[in-house]
Amino acid sequence: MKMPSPRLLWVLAIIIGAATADALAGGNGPLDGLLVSILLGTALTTRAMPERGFYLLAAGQLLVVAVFRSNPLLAAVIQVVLFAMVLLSNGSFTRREETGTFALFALIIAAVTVLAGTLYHALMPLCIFTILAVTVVLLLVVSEYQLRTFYGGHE
Amino acid sequence: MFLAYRSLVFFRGVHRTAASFSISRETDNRLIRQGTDVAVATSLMLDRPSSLSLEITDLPPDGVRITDGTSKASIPPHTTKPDPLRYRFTHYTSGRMPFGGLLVTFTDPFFRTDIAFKHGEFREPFLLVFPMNAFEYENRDLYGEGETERRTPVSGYSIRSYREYTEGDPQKHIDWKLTAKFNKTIIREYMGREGYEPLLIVDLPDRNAAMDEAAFISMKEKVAAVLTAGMHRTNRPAIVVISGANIITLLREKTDLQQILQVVQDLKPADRLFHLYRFAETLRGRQIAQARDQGADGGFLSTLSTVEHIFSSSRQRLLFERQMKAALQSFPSGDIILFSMFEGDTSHLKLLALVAKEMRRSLRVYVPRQANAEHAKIDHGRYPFTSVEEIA
Repeated sequence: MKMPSPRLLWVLAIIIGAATADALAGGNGPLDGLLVSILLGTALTTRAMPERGFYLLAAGQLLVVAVFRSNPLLAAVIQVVLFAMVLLSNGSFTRREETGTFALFALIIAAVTVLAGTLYHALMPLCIFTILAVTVVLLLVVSEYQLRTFYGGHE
Repeated sequence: MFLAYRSLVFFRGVHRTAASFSISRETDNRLIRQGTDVAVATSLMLDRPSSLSLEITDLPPDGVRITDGTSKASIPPHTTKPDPLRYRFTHYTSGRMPFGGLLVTFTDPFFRTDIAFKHGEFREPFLLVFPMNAFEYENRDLYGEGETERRTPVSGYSIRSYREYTEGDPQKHIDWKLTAKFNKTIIREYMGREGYEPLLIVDLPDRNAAMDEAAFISMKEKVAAVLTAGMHRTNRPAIVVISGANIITLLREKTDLQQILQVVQDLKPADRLFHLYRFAETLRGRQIAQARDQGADGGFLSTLSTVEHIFSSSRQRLLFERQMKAALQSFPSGDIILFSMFEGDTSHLKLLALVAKEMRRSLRVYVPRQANAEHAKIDHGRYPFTSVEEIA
């Protein structure tokens, strides 16, 4: 039987620990256990698949949503760990700069999650995120065009 | 948010990697003949290793076919000096050929983008491809000189005619055998001798008309061949580019063969702003046809022809005729070589032939074999060309 890599073991241990902490604090209890089981089952069945990180990320989202209802900060931790797992599975974090950037991103995620946990309305955050998403897409298009013209040169 | 974060990381990585690119491209030969193989070795260096996967495609010059090796390679992440790309290609076009550049595809697990590097060092080196087909000159020696019917300061060796001696003629030209035979002094008149600096006229096809692409390329190849051959004799070949009755450009001052070949390479069908609408044919032909239809007798037709001749001889010259006459006057010696697809309205070619005839210049016409078969029906009475030849 092929054993999971040490990194993945760490990631799964953190997630299971977070879910257990949530259950012990009076969160979702059996639901957390079920969702952790789904995550572990996905980890076992996707061992030979090239895009394993994505499957685990998708399976972990259920757990993130469930934990968020009782403990947003813990949900943020699980989410960040899942993202890190995806990046690890694709060979990232080889440079210190990448790790630093990801740490900054994790802090922002945590802050936004905590902020979202204090809100009791869905419409306003949805509008804000939609506007931000459209802006990001536009910025991506412009930055790609700039890259092409800057390095492509004139024919 | 995760995707936005990753896009930031991705484009930052692309920027860093693209800024650190440097390329070194070597070819085994830069002066080549059309149809021969060229070996290329392209090395890429990255000063700052990337965490992205790269796929590079070396873009060879236009008009080539890769015959051996591959111009594509994948570079795994964190590679600073990938293996060089080695391949061979065959050139099918001629002229000054830069490489197309380098196409790089940047990929990470979430994003992918292509950048075509097409500036400066990415297009070097430039190859100079000489046309494969040599152009044969008729009646010309190695120095490009030939004999002409005209009288020139330097005499040729062939005899043009005999005539009776008049005072002042050189006595060494007296033909004693004929003198004894006819009992009067006969002298030989020798052919003239002139340098060969041909004036090239390239008649571009109409951009708005159907055209045989292969025939046009063949014609351009031949023009390049004439220029390449001509550069051995004169370093300033003369080219007049026309399209119908429109003069497009006149090249006289260019002395760099690479630039000249590039100009030829860039020739393409042009817009014809001014049309002659077969004017030269209608004036006479339509009237005579009309008269015949009406049952006119031979006398009437003869009178009509005389009247037409009188009027046409005193008619005001068209702008195109005046322009071409001025162009020919500025190149007083040598043949005129005309390349034309001979398609559509060819009135301007007839006018050109008349101008050349009036100026006692020989006009040799070259028509691509693949072009419209109309040229096979060229009536040498209507088109007073010196010769018409097909080019392969």
